[in-house]
Amino acid sequence: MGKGQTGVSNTIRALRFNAGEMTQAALAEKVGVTRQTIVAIEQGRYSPSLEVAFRIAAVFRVPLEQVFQWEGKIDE
Amino acid sequence: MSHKEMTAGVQLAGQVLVAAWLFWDLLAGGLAGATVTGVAIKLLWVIGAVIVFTIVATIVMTIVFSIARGEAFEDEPADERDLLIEAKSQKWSSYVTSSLAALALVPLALGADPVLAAYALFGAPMIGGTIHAIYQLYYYRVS
Repeated sequence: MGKGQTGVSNTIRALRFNAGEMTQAALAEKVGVTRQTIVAIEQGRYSPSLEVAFRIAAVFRVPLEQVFQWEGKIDE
Repeated sequence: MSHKEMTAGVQLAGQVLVAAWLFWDLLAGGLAGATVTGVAIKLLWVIGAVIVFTIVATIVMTIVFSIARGEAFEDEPADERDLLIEAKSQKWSSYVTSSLAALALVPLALGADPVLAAYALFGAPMIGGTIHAIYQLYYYRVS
């Protein structure tokens, strides 16, 4: 995990590509956040709230776990 | 760069200008024979100048960015990330401002010239504002 990186990866870039090269601005408008926030989420610099995560999944009509994957570890 | 980052940059530039002016003023003998009232009036004028500078510079930079990008460079409504960054920046700014304001009492308690306390009271929110702008620019880059 690099500096400023979260433990959550995502497939938003691929999902946008599969959705007819949807632009970051178009996704931002559908989700209700700024384009900069979509950029930050896509680059793994920002973990969105659950609500925004669900909104993104809803835009692509896929389950949440297809958009976001947890890559961290839980200490036992 | 978003409009909010640009605004933070303008605020930072304003704080740097104030710091440069303060340095120049002190070198030019701003403390010699100064009264608390005189210093307070001078610093109030500086605060007014900073407000005017920030407004004018924001308008000018918005126009410049709009021309450079070929589209209106407008501020967007704040979303959850903007609010989070604002809260984090405000936290650090509050720590610094309140700590420095409390420290401004020290010269008074030690019986030093109250003019120094006036400068310290002015400096506390100015430095706090600088910290706020720096953290905003930092958090917008890393988160």
